[in-house]
Parts: sequence; C-alpha cells; structure tokens
Amino acid sequence: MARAGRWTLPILVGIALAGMPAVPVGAAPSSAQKAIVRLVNTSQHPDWYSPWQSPAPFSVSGSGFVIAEGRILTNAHVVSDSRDLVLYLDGDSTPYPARIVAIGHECDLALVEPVDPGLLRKVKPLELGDLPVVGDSLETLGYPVGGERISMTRGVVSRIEVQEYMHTALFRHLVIQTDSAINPGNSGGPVLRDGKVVGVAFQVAGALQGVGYVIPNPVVRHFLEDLEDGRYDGFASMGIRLVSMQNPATGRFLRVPANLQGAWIDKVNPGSSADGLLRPGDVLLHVGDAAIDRAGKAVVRGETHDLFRVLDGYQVGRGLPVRVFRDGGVREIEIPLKADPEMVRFTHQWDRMPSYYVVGGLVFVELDVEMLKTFGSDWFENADRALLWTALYEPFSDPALYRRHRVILLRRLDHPVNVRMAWYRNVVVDRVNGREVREIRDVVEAFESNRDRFHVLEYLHQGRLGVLDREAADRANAEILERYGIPEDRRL
Amino acid sequence: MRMRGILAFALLLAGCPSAARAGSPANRSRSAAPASRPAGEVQRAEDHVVTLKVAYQDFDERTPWARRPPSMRTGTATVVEGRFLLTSFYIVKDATLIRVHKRGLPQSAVARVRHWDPFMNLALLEVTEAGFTDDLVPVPISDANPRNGELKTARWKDRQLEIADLRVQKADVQLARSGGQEHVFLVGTTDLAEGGWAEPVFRGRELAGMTTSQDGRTAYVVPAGILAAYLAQARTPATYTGFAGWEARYQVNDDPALAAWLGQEGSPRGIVLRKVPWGATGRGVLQPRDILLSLDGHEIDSSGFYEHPRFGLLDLDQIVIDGHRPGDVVPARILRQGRVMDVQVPLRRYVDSDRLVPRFRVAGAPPYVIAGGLVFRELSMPYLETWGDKWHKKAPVPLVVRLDESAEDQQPGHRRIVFLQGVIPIPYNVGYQELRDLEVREVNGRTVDSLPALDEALRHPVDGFHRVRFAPNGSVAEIVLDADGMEAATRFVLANYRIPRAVVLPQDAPGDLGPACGGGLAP
Repeated sequence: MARAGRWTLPILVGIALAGMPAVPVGAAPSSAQKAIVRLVNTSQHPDWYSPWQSPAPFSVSGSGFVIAEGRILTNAHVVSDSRDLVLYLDGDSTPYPARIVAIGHECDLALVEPVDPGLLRKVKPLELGDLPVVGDSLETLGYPVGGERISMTRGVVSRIEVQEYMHTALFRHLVIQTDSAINPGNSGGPVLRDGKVVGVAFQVAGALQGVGYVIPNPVVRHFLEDLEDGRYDGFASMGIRLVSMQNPATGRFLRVPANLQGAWIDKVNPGSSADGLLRPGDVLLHVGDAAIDRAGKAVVRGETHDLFRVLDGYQVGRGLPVRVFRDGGVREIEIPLKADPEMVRFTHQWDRMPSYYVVGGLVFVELDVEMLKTFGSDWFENADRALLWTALYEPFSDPALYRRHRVILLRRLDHPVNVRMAWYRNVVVDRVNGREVREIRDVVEAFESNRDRFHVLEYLHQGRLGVLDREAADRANAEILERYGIPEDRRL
Repeated sequence: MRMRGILAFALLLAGCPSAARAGSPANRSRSAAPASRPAGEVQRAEDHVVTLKVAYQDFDERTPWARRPPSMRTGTATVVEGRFLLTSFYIVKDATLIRVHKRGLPQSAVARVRHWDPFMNLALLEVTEAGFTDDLVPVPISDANPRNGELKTARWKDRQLEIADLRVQKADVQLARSGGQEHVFLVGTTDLAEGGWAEPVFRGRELAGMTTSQDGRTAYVVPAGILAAYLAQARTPATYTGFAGWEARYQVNDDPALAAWLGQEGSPRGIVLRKVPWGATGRGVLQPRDILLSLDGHEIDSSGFYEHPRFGLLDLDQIVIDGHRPGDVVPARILRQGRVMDVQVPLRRYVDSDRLVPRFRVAGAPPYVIAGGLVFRELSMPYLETWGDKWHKKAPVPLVVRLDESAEDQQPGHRRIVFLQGVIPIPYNVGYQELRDLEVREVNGRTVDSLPALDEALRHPVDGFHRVRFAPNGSVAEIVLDADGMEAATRFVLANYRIPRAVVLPQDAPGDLGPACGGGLAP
C-alpha cells in the first residue's frame, strides 16, 4: 500500500542539463575508463494535465558502461522518455547516436547501443563480479557534475538490503549502500571492486550525508537474463501480503506446530501469481531456497531480507517453489510467476503517453500516480484527499476494485455548452449514461452510444451529478477542440 | 459548506488574548467606582460588560489519559435578564475555574456554567457569589435590524472599558466555531484589536449581537435574534431543545441541462438534493435528486439562497433557524421526477454526536479503550487536528476521508469509526507494536461501530483468542491475541506506563434515532 514517505526519500542521480558541454580529449584512459561512457538523453515527459500537449524537451546526462556484445548498461531513468540519445566516449567530444535496446523501469536499468555497430568494437567490456560484503572497498566511476572528465570516488559497502527504487517509487529490490560519493551524473555508471563491476550507481538518500545506492549484480543479472529471449518481461510479484507471526498467539490460533516457523498470508491479490494457489490463512514457510521467519523475512545466506530478495532470483514464467502450512499439514506448491501489470498505475510512469478523452469540453483521464502528480511536487499532501483515497487505497479495499481503472473528470475546457456545470474538476466518474466506468474506454462508449437527450455523469462521491445536453455537446465538439488546440479528441 | 468561519476561529485560537497585549482602544472610559446605581439612572456599557478569566485544562487527544498543562484564557460576558452572563462556549470549554471581574476591578467572583450549546458556540453562566451582580444591569436585546445604525463593541482591558465602532458589511450564513451549526453571522469591521472573545455589540443601549471570532479587524457577530432565541431556552436548561439544523447536502441548480434532465421546465430554480443524511432534517421526506423549490414559504433560488426579510439574500440553512425549534414541521415544495409536490418537513436538531466522525469533544476526557496494550479510539476531528495546522494534508488519508464523508455515511450499524490508534509495547503484544491508525471493523466476529461495542466484543473471545479485523485497505487484515493473557496484560500496561484507567467510554454516544429518522428511503 502506498505511504507518504515512500515517494520522497531517495533522489535519482541523473542530471538535467541546460546544454551539452563538450568533453575534451584528455590523458590516455585506463581500460576500465574506456568502457565508461557519458549518455545525454533528450527527454520529453508527457503532460498529464494537458495530455494532448507536447511539452518542452529537456536533456538528461548520465553514465553507462560497456558490457558484453558492445552494449551499454545504464539506468532506466537516464534514458526514459527518450526522443534523442547520444553517447560520448572517454576523451572524445564526438556525440555518437545511440538507441535503447531494452528498458526495465521496475529495476531502473536499461540497455543501449550505439547506432554504429562498430563503435565499441575496440572497447573491452567490463566484467560482472560477485555480490560484495559489508566493508568491501568500492570505486565509483562516471561523469558526475563538477567537471567534464571521468570521475572516480572510493568508499566501502556500508549495507546490503532490499530498498525501494525511486524511479518507480514502488518496486523494491536489493541495493548496496555505500559512502562512496555518488552525485548527479553518476547514474548508470559502474561501481567496481577489484576491477569487476559489483553494481550500477543509481540514487542517493536525500536527507542523509554520504549515502549512495548501487543496483547490485543479482538485480543486473535478472535484467540481462530476462532479455536473453529478446523480450523484456519484468519482475514477478507473488501478490500476497504477509503478517508477522512474532506474537505467539498467532501460531496457536493457526495451529502451527511449534517446530515450524513462517509468516501468515492474510491477503492474495486477485489475478496475481499466487491467486488460486495460496490463500489467506496459509502460513508461508519457505520460498525458493529461503526459509521465512516469523517476521515475514526471507533468510538468505544467514541474513534476513525482504521477500523481494528471493523473487529477484526468479524470472517471470518460471515456477517458484513454496512451502506452506495449511489445514494441519505442510504442502509444497509451485507458483508460476508473472508480473502484475496493474501495479504500473501506482508508480511513476515513463515511456507511456497518457490516455484521455475530450467530449463536450470535458477532459477525462484515468486516475493514477501521474495524474496525482499534476498537483505538484508535494502532490501527496496537495492532492484532493478523495482522489488520493480512490487512487491509492480503494483498489486494496475490495478485490473487485483492484483491476478497476477509475476515470476522473480532470477539468473543463470552458464553452457555453458546459460552463454551467456544477462539478467539473478532479471528480471521480462512477457512471456515464448509466454505464459503470471501469476504464476510460467505457466513458467513450457510453458517450458515443447514447441517444438520449442528455449525457449524465454520476460521480463517485457524495451523489454529485453532471449533465450535458447531448446534441449541443455534439455540435460543440469540433469547435472546442479547435479553440483549445487539441489535435485529437482521444488517446486510448 | 463554507470554511471561512473555521479559518477565522483557528487564527484566533493561536492568538489567545493576554493581559499584556497592546491595544489601541478607540474610546476609553474610566472605570467607575462600584456602587449601586439608583433606580432610573441611565445605564452605561460598564453596567453590562464583565471580564471572564477562565482557567482551563484540556486533554491530550494523542494521549487521551493525559491532560495538557493548565492554561488561562480571557474573554467577555454580557449581563442579560436574570443577571446571567452570556458568553461563547469556547471561552468556558474545559474550564476548571471561571472568575468574573466587573468594572475592571481585580476582585472577582466565581461563576459556573448554567447551560451551553457547543454547536451554536453559546453559553450562559451564573455567578455563585450572592450579591456580586446586584450592581450590574441586564442589557435588553435589540429587536431592530442590526445591519442598520451605529454599532459599538465593548470589553474591559487594563481596568478600562474599551469601546470601539463596528461597521457591518454583510450578513452571511457560516459555520459556528469549529464547524458546528450553520447560521447567520454579521460580518463587519471593528476598531477593537484582537477581539472576537464574546464582546457584546451594542446598538444604542440594546444588545445587537455578540462576537464569537475575529480575523484581523473582521469580526463575526452572532445577531441578537439568535441570542434572544438561545436565552429564551437556556435559562431553563432542562427543557432546552436547541436549534434546528439543515444538513441535507445539495448541489446548485444553475445548469439548465441538469434542471431539464430532472424534469424542470424554464429557468432553473431551487437546489438539487444530493443526500439527506441519517438523522437529519428532511430524512424520510426529501430524497436525492429532488429539486427543493421552497422551504417554509421561502422560495429558494438555484444557488440555494432565499430572501431573508431582515438580512437580504441568505443561504437556505438559516430558514430552519429563524423562529423554529426542533420538532416544528415546515412546508416544502419540491420537484420530484417532473412533478411538483408539497411535503411537510419535520425539523431536527443538529447533533454532532450523531455524526460518523464528531467534530467536537464537548467535555470530558477523550474516550479510549486499552486492551492488552492496544489503544482503541473513536475517530474525531480533534484527533485528526493533532497533526497540526495542516492536519487535513498530514493525517492518514483513510482517516481524513472518513471525516470528509462523515455527515453522509452515518447510519445504524455504522455510527462511529473505531480505530487502533497504536500499541503500547509490552511482551504480550509483540509483533503488533508497529500498527497504528487502522480502522477496526470487527472484534471477535462482532461488528464494532463504537467503543462501547468494542468493549462489549472484548468480553466475548472466540476459542480462547481475541480477533481484531481491520478495514481491508490497511496494512494488515487481522490480528490475534491470547484471550487468557489480555486482562493481566492490560493491568501490566496500566501499572508500567502509569495510566489511570483502561476504559473511558464516550459521554456522547450516538443516540438511538429511531426508525422515523430513516423513513424507509435509502439514500
């Protein structure tokens, strides 16, 4: 479930640029340095408030490094919403066109390649190493702010655990925390131990000094292995919620033998990997090779981790062996893993154009985090409470609502046909012309199939109503689109 | 519902007047020596106005068994018929001692509350010391239109009587302080600095109103008509019925398309009812999507205004206040499904405690139940306000939306929102100590819609366990505790954390509204 703090803590370390400074040729780079490139992405993030608009592009600079087959690994947030992408080799001020091979927003990783397939032929790829341990020395390389040449900083591994990845502000994977200086522009650059890559620099803690985060190789390998079949499937979720069994009463209540320990499954999301296989009331004992402790943590290599640590070892489509205690006995169950596409609407979104529909000057959009962000940087505080509830809490209150994409009347483009409507901004539309709205296509079909004298909007909260004269709205449609410069009345 | 009144009150609360404040009285008169006034002598303001110094101690809504440090507030009261003192509820709320000073003198007498109406923010006091008020003179209540004529407001300060002009700009229907009942206020500019603490407003030698808040130099004045109606009942508290309230929710009917869809021909008139909450005036008679055309003979325009004979255009909420009491029946004309109908609407009192989420804690400790270290509460606006000035943005969203919908969701079986405020850590509740602010739906299989219901449910464990089920959008669906250990655990919590009582049940439990309030018409 979404929380306020979730959206604010870490800061991504890609950097927006006003221009593109040239990189001068310097001293002969080391082998590792030659594999590290600077990426400049001209990005264009859609405007969810005026979804038909083409907002001003802006440049983002980050780092990347060559891995096998002449391809470059970087962060997803460096190359998101890309309209133009170039790379700079170390010591070479020539901008080389590049393109995105694959992008994984859940893990904030992307694979890019130069348009010229021979460009990296002479560059020796960096090699992926093992997961370091706390206290290991690390070197962070990349092109952070404060200069134009490649930069290297040193530090140690200060912590390894599952944390939230800020790029989506929802997905959680393993991270390496380090005191090695990571600054804007370092994003996508390699972090090395003994000359081998242990991860990809990607974010820092906003409120803490000297705390940087690195995407470790288990996550990197998951991303790369996922792409081996030429398709990116993403990360699987089990779709369950675990409740602590640290209170001894729960074990007795669920009649779990004293020699077993695990955590109580109290919810299974409809349509998720576990739906139909696990059920509320099961006690999860083992997932993969990891035992589950009474706090619901997975025990990996003798250390407790969030369950995502185990899931990151499995690809979508694979079977995840789990062991549960149910009805007085232990059962072994294999769960075919799948990704949950519904989770996208609870995250920051990239490389996606917002859907919308304009009719009679009324602008309808689907309610998701990007829409909420139209309330500004403090959107969690500033957004209408009813909208916030409907977007982030209501889907978890009833299984039937989890897959319902709420649609809101975002705003009104003033015209005589609509200007006297009482409610016309940020209201959740429950029904249109008697038709239940489950996604934006329902709104379109309800308007287009209506032959009555009026279009009737029933809003979700407080019994509010909106009515449009159908014929007048139909007549005004083209004029409104023209007057407000809207090229298309819909994007679905 | 307009919130301007609330804002003004909030500002005033932050700036409680103190004896040290600087003020520039527009007019000053020397304090007169206290002496009995010969009969027939013309009274002056000092004969009517007294100062209240109120020691008060309110509760800590976050820690409901604890009180905040005692504090002091100063306000004004006006001597009215019977030598009672008229003031505002907020001045005497949570009072531990009320002292009355007359003529600016340091000597004081003790007063007690004879009656208060928190939802109208009015209170009537009586001085317990015999003879103290003998030389004070009750002020007559004005029957003239308070929008006209020269108005003065007065209070004692620094042993002198400050008298200042007050110029009324408009009459407006607003919420009484902290969102009680809506009624008409006179809104005007005053020369009195930092007023709004129940200063009387005089028109000539009569009482034309009483301030209940002030925002900068803008004063909000309860007009004399409402004061007179209050006093007529408050002198005999046992028979007090209060004021009727209008809580039906509506939307304006400005849109010809909406009006036509509802079957209205011609220009839109009246307002479109959205919801008539359980227990509210009109419940069982008026229905959602009725167009209310007139109420008590007053035609209502498409924005919800009517022509008040004295104040001009006012919100329709004032109709049920003027000259009516709860229990009265007023005629209404509605348009329902294209047909004009005349109906009779019984008026009901605004009762804050009937709300799903009450806006007030009128008196006494915040109710709570501690069971095995789990602290259960009933959701209220005072609790949400513990998140500070921006509580509406800072407090947990699932709780805030309950307040926003509270007036509309109340119904039998869903009378209060009970929630787990937090867990006081002891070994008994290990595993649950991070839980907080979770709405409770069931305990031991019983629906919980009040703390008494929760307290009762905890007396009936199931198969040796206490099971607490939460609203499904929370971080956990259910928790389980050993029934056998709960009593001892509760005792341990009380002893270990020095908490005096495990259970404080609400004094203002929702009333049994009876079937008449439902009227068989589902919203």
